[in-house]
Amino acid sequence: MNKAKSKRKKRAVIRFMAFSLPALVVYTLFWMVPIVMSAGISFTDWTGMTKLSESSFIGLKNYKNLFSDSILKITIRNNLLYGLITILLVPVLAFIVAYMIENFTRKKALFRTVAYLPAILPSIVVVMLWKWMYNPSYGLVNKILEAIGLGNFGTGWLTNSDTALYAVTAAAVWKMVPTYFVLFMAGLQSVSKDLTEAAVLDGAGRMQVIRNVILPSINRITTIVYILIFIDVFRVFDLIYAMTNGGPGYYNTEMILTYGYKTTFTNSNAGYGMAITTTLILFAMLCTGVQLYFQSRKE
Amino acid sequence: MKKYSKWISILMAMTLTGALLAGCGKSTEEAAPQPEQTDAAPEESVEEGQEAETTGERPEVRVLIKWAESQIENWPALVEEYNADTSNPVTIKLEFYGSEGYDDKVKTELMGDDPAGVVQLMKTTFNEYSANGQLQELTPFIEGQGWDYNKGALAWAGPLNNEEGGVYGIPDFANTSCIFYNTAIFEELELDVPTNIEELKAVSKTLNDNGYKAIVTGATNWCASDLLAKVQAQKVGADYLVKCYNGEAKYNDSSMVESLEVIKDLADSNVIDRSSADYTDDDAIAEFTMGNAAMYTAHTGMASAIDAVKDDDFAYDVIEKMNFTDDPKTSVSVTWGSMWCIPANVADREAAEAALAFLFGEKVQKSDVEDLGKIVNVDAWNAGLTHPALTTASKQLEGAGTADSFYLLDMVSAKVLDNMNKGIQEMIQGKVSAQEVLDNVQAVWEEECSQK
Repeated sequence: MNKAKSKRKKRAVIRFMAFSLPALVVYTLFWMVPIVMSAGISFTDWTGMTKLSESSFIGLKNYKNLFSDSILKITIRNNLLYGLITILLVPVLAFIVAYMIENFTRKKALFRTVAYLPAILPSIVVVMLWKWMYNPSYGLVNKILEAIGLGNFGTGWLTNSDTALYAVTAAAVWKMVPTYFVLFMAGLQSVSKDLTEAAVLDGAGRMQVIRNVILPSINRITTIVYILIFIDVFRVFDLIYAMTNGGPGYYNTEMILTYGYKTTFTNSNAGYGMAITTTLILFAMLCTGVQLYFQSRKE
Repeated sequence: MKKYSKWISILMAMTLTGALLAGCGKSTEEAAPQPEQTDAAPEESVEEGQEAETTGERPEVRVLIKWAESQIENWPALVEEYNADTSNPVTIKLEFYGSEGYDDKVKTELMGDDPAGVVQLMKTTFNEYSANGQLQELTPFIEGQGWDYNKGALAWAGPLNNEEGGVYGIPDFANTSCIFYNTAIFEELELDVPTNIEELKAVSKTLNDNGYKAIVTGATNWCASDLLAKVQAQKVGADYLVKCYNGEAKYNDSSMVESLEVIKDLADSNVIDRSSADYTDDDAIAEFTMGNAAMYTAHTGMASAIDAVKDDDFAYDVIEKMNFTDDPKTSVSVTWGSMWCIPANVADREAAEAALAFLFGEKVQKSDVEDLGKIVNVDAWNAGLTHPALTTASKQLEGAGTADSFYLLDMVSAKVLDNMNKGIQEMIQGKVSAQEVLDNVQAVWEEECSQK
């Protein structure tokens, strides 16, 4: 009996290993190893142009320099503003889209597909699309403004220092909403119909049902959405790099990660660049941990 | 079906693991993206090439090129001809990468033990590689070739703290800071081509009065800084920038501020159209070629970009002489493009030098002039230029290239340059003063020094 049990257990372990090994290998090789390596490099003066073995250990100097870096301060401010807007807008819009499709449309599959399209578009396509829309001469945004008599407000949205950050944020929101509306959609489908019907029978209006029945029921999903968006906020790179490359003017759309990249590869200061990105990773991990802790206490 | 699903899943997981492990253990050369390659015998396999080396045949020199083949389309045929002639000491293999991933490829090569014989480096990275001692010193080689180079060409072909004046790379071709002008508009309004600031302002006023923008530039890219490069070279000189780099002077010194004030003054007096602040180079070129702006300030290398979009009947030239000060240190401001270098740890230096001697010898360089419209290092070889704007630029350069004429853009760190560009853009937008721009530049430079 015991022998059969142990054989079963052994088989289960082998099966578990067979399934998880590929993902584990990929995750370790391409995520964990580079993260640990970059953390190690952040304690050196490696420029990235010579052999790593030729660099010297400089302790916490790179981390000390973070506090006196004026450009880093600008990027933190930009990242926070970008983050604030996306964290405020994306979950709300994603929920609204999911709720509308779930409750007000007949051909749900069609609308789901259409609404999800921006999420599957490659970033570079999104960049080309929005750059075209924002173009000062022939862009759709300025044309629409002209058509409704607001032509005076037209500008080079991505090249004007005052509008560039908001313009890239709008493009990012457009790309992010579909990713998260799918999660909300799954959440909405899991809400018990009995509960909502009971609430309606008790005389609750639509907003009351949303506030008192639906939102509490999808609490866990909402938490996951916020955590993922929070991480996304600090991971923002491709859109910014391809749309504005941190400009225009004084780093008006430069983000922590694009600055870290440029510091490492363009300015040939890999040690310091890695210190920037390592700090960012630690910060994101800390915030996510705190968020999860409070969520678990609440539950 | 359920019975089999478990085994199908296991099979798929094993396939994935196998595929993953199959990628391990390959050499970096095999794993790296393969460039377009052109050599005399493209059908020759790697094994055959190795065999050739061991049997005493001509050594092969790999040449790493940042550009796409279309940018130097004359080279493959010339190299093929060279390789076919067995009296030549080496065979050359051109490896074109295009911009994507090139810098990383070069880094890997220069850090490795068997780098390519010749590598093309942009000025932004060249200075650092030469400062790190990763490139061969080429003075004896160049002297040995007996090339009659323009005096300015090799003036700063080394690290920015190059006290010995060593030459670590051969400059590719020259671009000078320039103002392009629409000859038809000038003729229509009977305007004389300006030669100094007062005349430029007067011409611009007439242009503005007739509904034209005077000068446009791509301030969101680099081209606004090209104009500063010329003003700075004329008023202060390149030597001052080296002093700044070495901590002996400051970027926000009054002489530098004065240079930048000239640009600000041009923007304030509507000579440089303020809309330029939001323009990319493409936007500025579009305004120029569509006839909305009469002048476009950039460097002569942008002539090809203009040619690519202009109508057939659109005629333009560059202003031959423009003095931004009464007593200019130099009449031109020139950047010598990318640098062609031999890695310090190259296995066969002689072979690499032979390849470089051919690529920058008279035959290939004259072909570059005639087929690609490049202004090359030896003034006499530029006789074959036909493009009106480039002929003018070449005339400007003859005998005028000096150490002081070297481009501002090549004489600062990448971070300082980036900051300077951003500052100039905001200055044209009217948001900051010249002093503030350069204070910022100096602060960023000091920060950069403390970070390294």
